[in-house]
Amino acid sequence: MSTRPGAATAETGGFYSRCEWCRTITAALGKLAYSLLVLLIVAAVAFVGLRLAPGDVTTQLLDPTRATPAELEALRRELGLDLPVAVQFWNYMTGLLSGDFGKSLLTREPVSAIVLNAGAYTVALAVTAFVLTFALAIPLGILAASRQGSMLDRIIGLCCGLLIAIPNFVLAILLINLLALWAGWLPVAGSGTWKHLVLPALALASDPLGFATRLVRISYLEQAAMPYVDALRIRGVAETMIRWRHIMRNALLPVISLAAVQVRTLVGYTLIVEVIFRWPGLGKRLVDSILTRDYAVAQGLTVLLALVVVLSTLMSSLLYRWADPRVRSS
Amino acid sequence: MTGPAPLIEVRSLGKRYPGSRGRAGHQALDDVTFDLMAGETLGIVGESGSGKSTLARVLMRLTSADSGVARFRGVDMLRPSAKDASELTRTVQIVFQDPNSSMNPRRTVRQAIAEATRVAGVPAAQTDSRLAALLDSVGLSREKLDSYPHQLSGGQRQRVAIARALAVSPQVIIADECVSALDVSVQSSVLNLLLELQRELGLTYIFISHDLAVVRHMSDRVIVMRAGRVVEQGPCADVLSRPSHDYTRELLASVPGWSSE
Amino acid sequence: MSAGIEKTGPGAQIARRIVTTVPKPVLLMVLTFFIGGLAGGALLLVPEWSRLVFRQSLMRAYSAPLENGTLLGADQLGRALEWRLLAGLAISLGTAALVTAIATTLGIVMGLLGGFFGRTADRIVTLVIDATWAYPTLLLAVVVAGIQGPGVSTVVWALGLTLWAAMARIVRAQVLVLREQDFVLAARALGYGKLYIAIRHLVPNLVPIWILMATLFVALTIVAEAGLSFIGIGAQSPTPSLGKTLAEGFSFASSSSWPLLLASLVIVGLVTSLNSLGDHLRDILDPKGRVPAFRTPRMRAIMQREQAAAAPAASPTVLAEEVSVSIRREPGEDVPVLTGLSLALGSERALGIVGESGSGKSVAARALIGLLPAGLVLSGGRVSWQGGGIAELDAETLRGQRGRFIALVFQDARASMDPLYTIGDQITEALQAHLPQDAASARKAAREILARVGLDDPSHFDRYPHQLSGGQMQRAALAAVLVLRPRVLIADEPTTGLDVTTQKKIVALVRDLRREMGMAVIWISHDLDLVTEIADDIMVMYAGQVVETGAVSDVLRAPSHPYTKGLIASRPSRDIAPKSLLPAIAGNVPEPGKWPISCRFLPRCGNAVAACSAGQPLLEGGTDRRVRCFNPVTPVREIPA
Repeated sequence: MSTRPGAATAETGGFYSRCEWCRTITAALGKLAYSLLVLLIVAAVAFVGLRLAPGDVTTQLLDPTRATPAELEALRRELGLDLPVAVQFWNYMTGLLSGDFGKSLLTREPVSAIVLNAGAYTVALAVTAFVLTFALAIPLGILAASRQGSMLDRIIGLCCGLLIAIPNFVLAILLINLLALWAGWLPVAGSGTWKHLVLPALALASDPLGFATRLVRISYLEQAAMPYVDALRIRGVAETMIRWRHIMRNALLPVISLAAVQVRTLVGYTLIVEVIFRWPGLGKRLVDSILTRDYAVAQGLTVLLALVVVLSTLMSSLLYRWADPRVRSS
Repeated sequence: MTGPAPLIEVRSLGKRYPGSRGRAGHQALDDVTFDLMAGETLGIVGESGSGKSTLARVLMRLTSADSGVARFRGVDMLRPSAKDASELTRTVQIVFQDPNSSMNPRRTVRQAIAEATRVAGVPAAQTDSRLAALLDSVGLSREKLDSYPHQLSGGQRQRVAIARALAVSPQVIIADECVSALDVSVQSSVLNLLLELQRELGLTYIFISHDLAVVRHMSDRVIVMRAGRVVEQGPCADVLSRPSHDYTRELLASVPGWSSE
Repeated sequence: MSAGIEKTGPGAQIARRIVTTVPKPVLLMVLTFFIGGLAGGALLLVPEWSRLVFRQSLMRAYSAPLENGTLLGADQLGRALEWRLLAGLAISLGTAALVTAIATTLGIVMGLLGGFFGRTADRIVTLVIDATWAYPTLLLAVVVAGIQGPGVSTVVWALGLTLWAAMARIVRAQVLVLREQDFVLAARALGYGKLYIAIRHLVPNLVPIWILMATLFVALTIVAEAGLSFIGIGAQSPTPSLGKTLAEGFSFASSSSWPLLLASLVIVGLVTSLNSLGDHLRDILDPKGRVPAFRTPRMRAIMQREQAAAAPAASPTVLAEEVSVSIRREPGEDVPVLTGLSLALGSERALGIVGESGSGKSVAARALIGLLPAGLVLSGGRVSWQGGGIAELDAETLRGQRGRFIALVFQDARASMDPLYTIGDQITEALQAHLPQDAASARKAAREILARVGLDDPSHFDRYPHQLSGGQMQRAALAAVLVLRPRVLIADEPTTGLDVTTQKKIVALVRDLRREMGMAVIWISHDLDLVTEIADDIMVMYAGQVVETGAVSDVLRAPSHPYTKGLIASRPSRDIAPKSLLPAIAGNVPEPGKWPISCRFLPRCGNAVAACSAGQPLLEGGTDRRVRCFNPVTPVREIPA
């Protein structure tokens, strides 16, 4: 009477062990709670980390050479910087949990407003780059894999290698020179029309595209060598069925996990790309806020960006769970 | 009628693997009781899920038991004191099944066995001669000392595993399916080795296998396990020729070629 | 094994493979950059030479290469580019080395802690890894810059503090696998503590991963450092980081594009060669990642040799004539794994093929079904189904016949089904591939065959492969091939690895189905006794050859070939006294590629005569009993064909 993996046993399994839906919900909730914990840690670390740096935002608002210490002190009190650190921390954490990100210490803008304005630009850029990456990587990877060893495969491989090797700011410079300055097809920098989006999105997508294409290719080849593929051929199933119904579905599973990793990469590299192209997104605001010690903005944006990464990881693991029955039962 | 005291006494040994995330747990060992007498070979047969490998691991303290006792000459085998633990290590040893993973791929035969002779307290000066002697006793040439696992065949690797177990001069060796992964033509020579070593060194074996013919050949007494419980035990000739339990009968009837004998 | 044993460990082996497999240009480039880095390092450290790097000269500003006494031109402050680039190379490589050292060490320590030192440690480590992972690397660098001020050390801290998490994750996964290996258990059985085992046993086996991640990290750091310096957070003037030179080149590009161009070239060249090296290392060190040969229809056509032969009249169901199969590495370098297989399977007969590892029995099965695994080619002979040679058939006809005429089940039944689809789905699919019909009737037929093989619970149809036990899975695999009612079933070790009681049921099932469907069966096994239960005829294989054939009872009662005799005799049975020494066959099976010219069994044979060392015997005898031996144990009577 050996135990069968995953099947509801006749033994002591209760209702819970037989209800797969219940298990999925519980798992999702558990992961959500865990992600929340991770975010709180990130928020706490951000809080502490920012305050490790000397100085505060008051030096940005008042010229330290001319303001009197009393004036600086008054400003600090007004901004709430004179409270004990623990109290500040408590206010901050409770504020986060209720969704209040506070106001910029520099401009008094609500952080949420900043997020909405600049955030829209960053989102547009990142999403475009993400879609571009996977819309190209999947077909190219499969193409390269099914023509393994051919000239096309080698060319695609070379391009991927170059995309990964050329740092995206170098590529950005190259693209600007080629497509904007020399050919004049696209604007150099700034924002406003969809044309302004093209170059930054291309520069941002280059690295992830190279990685993703490679992964799709290798994953496809790995699946093609699996015993079940041989078994399907032995049973006489048509080759097209094998490729599209079986190999491709199995090969795309790792891509789901990769997508989450690429979101993280994209979020990081948006910073550089926004600076080069003067794209008014969150990246520049974040850098500035850190340098000016604008705690509210810096913390808020940090937590927000971490939220994006964590959410994407969560979504990717839920998606994977839906796609792979083996994960569902364990 | 009192005979000689058993070497190892196992009483009501139990182990349960708890369920996780909705899967029910299962009882790997359930009230297992038996004695091991000095100098004999005790065979343990069973199918998958019978608990025979779990039993081996519990006795070697590689995993914990939930209930019951196991004693070697009165010394607690399951939760021994530090001093007793090191004694037990030099008294009861184990040879595993898989020749591919039984040796660290990055270490030579010499390093693998020397690790064991160190435990036995062999001083550095005598290590080399002891290693050579061990290889001799398992039928390997001394040249093999500096070989890596990938340079040896499956049968040779199992011999090294046996040499490693012998290095501490144990009294009991647990052979956990140690020939099951070998080719048929190699199995018999390794089995012969085990028999010779038993004769020369007076070893006591616990011989675990799913192969009934091999167990019948190697054992004096045999235990039949199923789903963690001991279903039947007794002298080999009795249990395997005139089984009293239905399950044993079913098992014997399933072995190809058994009934025709 | 010859007397001289190569005293090379896995480390030396890997080093040798690296030198031979990695293309020379890649190695050369990496070496060049490395030497350049050393030179740059010297430039920065030696005071007299560092002047070359920092010396400004307005006269030379914006010079093109070979102008004004410079080799590669000068930047906006007139500093010679050749020295700045070398120094930049040194900074990039130095930073990369430092970050990689920190990240990999920390990663290994944390990975070991999580994977090997208990569940609590694991939970904490995983939480820290996830919290670190939640924050993009580049942004962390900015935060650290905000705290520490910009500079190269900022980059080092930031990158080191986030990259370790990626390493730790991978190390942890590997440790979880390693700790179940028997050699770790053996060390624990010897009483060694966890720390000792972690250091002496686990870490050395993590070296391949370490090398792979190290190359990855080095490339990543170089790019990241350049990027951060570009936006002003990394190296500050006058530090000659490659990123800084690039940034300055970008701002002053209107005056001279040389700094921009040259700095880009250096970065791209460095990272490309490192990535290329990393790719080749991955091929060597990570067998799972090795890309296999994909058998496209075009390649399959190349692999099948053209055979011209007339089809004989009254033909057996499956016929193999002198079939040979080899591993093809380079053309002309074939390594035979099967030679001279000849068999004739009559309809509704059962043939048992017995052999150990290296006998070629599984390859024979694949040859008979006309579908060799990737990398193997048919190097001789001919296979025919019902009189028609299969090499002459086109791919589509072959596909149609395969499955309807002849079927194969493997040892690992679970691996023979796609894990993402239910077994009912896959049986239906197999049916539809040959007999297109509406979905409802196909599903009905699938359910019927499932019930027939013993999976009669309706829920079995909707189960996934991982939800069935070994025995159930083998039944499902049988259902998938038998739903088409083939004339021939080849079963390659289908019950090896299953419990004896399950095995008995599967054997009975196949026997019943054979009778019911009028199939011929080829049952491959290493177990002589098992084959006796199923087969009418038996074929014994050794080292890629058939060494004996005949009716099963004849061969077992009076074996002819010394190997067969030895195999039968070495089995523990009632005839042998318990605990007595078994008559074992000494020696080992020779591996493909190391087959001697003499009889392949000679080194282990107790019956050898002079002729045995000169060459190989042929398979000789009558139609119903043959043996390949110069001096058989039981002479085979010649029966005219």
